[in-house]
Amino acid sequence: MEGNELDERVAKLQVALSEVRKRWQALGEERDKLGQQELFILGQIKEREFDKPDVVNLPIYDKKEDLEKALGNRGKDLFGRDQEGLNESRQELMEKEAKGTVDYINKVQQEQGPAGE
Amino acid sequence: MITSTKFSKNKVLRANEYSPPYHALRDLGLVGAQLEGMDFSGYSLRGVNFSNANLRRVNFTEADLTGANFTRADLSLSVLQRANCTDTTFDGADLTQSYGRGALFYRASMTYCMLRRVTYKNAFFLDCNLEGADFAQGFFVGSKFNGCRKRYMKNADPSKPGGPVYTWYLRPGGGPPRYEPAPQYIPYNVSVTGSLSVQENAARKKLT
Repeated sequence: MEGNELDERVAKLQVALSEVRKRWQALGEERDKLGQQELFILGQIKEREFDKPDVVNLPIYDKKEDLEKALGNRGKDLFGRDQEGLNESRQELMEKEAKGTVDYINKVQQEQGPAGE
Repeated sequence: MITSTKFSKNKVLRANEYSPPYHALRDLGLVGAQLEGMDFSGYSLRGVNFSNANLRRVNFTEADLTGANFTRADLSLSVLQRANCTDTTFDGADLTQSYGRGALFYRASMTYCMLRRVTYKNAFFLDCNLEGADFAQGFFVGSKFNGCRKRYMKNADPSKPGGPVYTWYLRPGGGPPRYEPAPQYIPYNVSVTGSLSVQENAARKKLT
């Protein structure tokens, strides 16, 4: 093989190599683009996973009227008594209970006689 | 501005001991303040910044906490009974074992707030942000949560161990309540005493 032929073949091979390099570069750019798209889609999927509706069911007021009524009764019990009224009614109840206890003891003592005899 | 050095560690200021009128506590900066055991009951604390403050055992009964900031504050064992917490920030705050019967949380930000073993009967959580809040073993009978954000909440499912209590189940014939449904037991979604505090159950006074 003569020198000229060799030079021609080398020149052809260099052209082919540059073509391959160009294609390789183009493929790389496309791969990068696809990779970025993949990452973007993966990120979106992850975000959607975070946005899943929660499964916690906390109690709520079903009607607006119930909420307004409950807010209006703040500072009162369910029977509309404030702290003072509640304490009074509890005092009454306790006195009633005490009276009932005394009555019961008296009744037992009348039937059975005083304790210790 | 009141700083943490102004109060001694165990000093408890009562409302009548505090020289300026109560409304002077508005918009104060109490960041990182040492306020353990203070009594702020009935105070107007609008816009006060309690970020990172030590507020253990502090009494906020019927206090106006509108716009106050409790970011990462320690509110364990505090009392928030009937407190007004409108637009209040409790992000990352520790409310462990606090008592908040009838408290109003409206538009409050409570992200990653710890509400472990609390007693919040008949409390209002309206349009609050409860993302990441921890409800472990909390007692929320009668409390309602309209319009709240609930993502990433921890221990908020009453059916799981360590979950909170939203409903009492009582037997008509009497006896102790159950926390899970059972035949013949009636669910109670509200506490009868409303937002009032009375001695209940074991703490009731005995007649002599």
